[in-house]
Amino acid sequence: MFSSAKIVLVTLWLMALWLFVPVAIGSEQPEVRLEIRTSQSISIRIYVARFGTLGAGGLGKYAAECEKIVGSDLQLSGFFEVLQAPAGDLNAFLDSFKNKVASREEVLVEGRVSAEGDKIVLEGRLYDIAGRKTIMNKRYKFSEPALRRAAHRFSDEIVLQLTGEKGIASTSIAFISNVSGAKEVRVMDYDGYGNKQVTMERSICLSPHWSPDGQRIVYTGYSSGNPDLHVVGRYGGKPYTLSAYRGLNSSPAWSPDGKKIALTLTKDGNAEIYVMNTDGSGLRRLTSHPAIDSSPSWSPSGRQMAFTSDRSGSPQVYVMEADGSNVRRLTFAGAYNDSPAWSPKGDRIAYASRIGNNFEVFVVDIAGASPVQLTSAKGNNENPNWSPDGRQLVLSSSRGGKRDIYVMNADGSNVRRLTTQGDNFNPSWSPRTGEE
Amino acid sequence: MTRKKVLYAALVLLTLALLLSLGCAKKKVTPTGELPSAPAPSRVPAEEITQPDVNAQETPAQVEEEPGAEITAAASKLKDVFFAFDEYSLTEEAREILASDGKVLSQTRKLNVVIEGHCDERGTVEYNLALGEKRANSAKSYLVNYGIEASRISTVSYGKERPFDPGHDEAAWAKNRRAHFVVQK
Repeated sequence: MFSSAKIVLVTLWLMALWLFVPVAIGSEQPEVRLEIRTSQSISIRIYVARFGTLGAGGLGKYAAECEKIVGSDLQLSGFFEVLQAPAGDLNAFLDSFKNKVASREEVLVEGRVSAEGDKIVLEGRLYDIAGRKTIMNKRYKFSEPALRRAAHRFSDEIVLQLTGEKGIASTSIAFISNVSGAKEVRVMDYDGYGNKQVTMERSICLSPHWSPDGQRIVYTGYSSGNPDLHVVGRYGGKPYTLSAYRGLNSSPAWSPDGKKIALTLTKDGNAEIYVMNTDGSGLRRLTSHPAIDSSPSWSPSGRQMAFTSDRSGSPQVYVMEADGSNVRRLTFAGAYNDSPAWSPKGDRIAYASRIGNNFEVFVVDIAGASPVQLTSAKGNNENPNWSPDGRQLVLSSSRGGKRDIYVMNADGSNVRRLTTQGDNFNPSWSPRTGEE
Repeated sequence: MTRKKVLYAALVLLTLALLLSLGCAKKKVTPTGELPSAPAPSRVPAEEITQPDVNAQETPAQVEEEPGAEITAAASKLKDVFFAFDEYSLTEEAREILASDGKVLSQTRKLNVVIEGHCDERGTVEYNLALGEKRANSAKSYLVNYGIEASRISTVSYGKERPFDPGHDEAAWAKNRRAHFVVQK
């Protein structure tokens, strides 16, 4: 008797819990966010349906183009398993999921292209298959040259909805190329499309670096005869001279808050790191050593900088506070470590290290522990630079016989070549910008 | 016994409540399996996407004058000096060359020069810029010590950006690690 009363009590407790817990979760659950377990695991499957057209003819090619771009963006984001939904009746396809327990979250992306006046309209939709509800509707209006941009925007919104962090499909990569005959700054989309020249110095340009608002690029230019720092708009326009001290004005790095630029000057006789305001005022020297100090890279908080120094006898990566204090050496393995790039999450630093006669890309945590080699290709792999989400790296590599810009996942996998013509190097990944 | 009865009654009530709540919840979602039709266009505001034009504008280069015949003749006697890998110190041979360059400069007082520092292709762009600068400065320091006015000598580093030999072997690299003299215009 006693024991059966106990069982009843326990049952009551369990039932009470069963009644109340779902209510509590239901009221707190965000409407659209699906959970990503870890940043690297692929826990969501996306079916991309055939993008259709509405109304006027001749839109099929735009629909196909948008579908291809969105599918590629979602694949490149590294978050998802991307599959093509079968052509034909979408509802029948969705019905096939009924009563099936999915091993992972499954969503459907579809799009429709129509015409509005002389503009193209892309309506995109994200649909939660298990929940059987539309998660997101988007509508973009554009003319043909902006098609890729519109499709990238839709991709970024999908990534935002599903992961809580905006995608990087709308970002760009600045780099140096001699394809016009001289080494000029060029900018291309993150997937290599839309490669355009933004400077016309007709001499040598080097080391482009983005402003954190993504609107300007600071670089070293030789058009005056001296390597000065110039600033050019993201879409070109007339550059202005920011710093023209005698000697080198090189390796500029815009601070994360946009207010300062760290750079290398040799005006005092030796390569030292300085910091100045973005109008060139308030110059302050940070390093003071007879060795070469160069290539500053800000931590995302703006409180520290990584840089290269050969004060130990060979180039190595060091870290210091943003006021120049507390210098400590980060890399010890390898005789030549250079081009530090602090990750946007702040936890790692990528750099190039000479192995034998070639350079390879490495990452190391900010304590300097356990450097990991990410490349092992023929030729030099240099100048690593992070995507704004920290999930990918852009680099220059001569693995194809000449220098080109490549992108890979932050673990070294999934390497893609973005340039083919000319000599291409010094890549810099743009930030995400508010309106892009 | 009465305690047990109360417990059973509560159990029955809770079961009923549970069944009721499940029924309600089920009614609320009612999955149809149909993909709801897209909202009317007016319900989702369209974002206008434009593609800005890219327009690279010329940066004016400096005006250059051609030097006279006397200066050109003297300048042709200036010899470049070469360096070891990742080094900017002057070798004995480099000192001898610079001594002869110093002589040329002291004899032709109108000849002002730019010493360009160059590097081989190994190593990064930024580090080689700094290294090239050190090479140019090494040569300049020697000439200033020799007695040439510092104001007649300027320096510029091209790092590894303007190699004399585009090859990828030691023969090419050796030619590219140099301090190169050009006439200041």
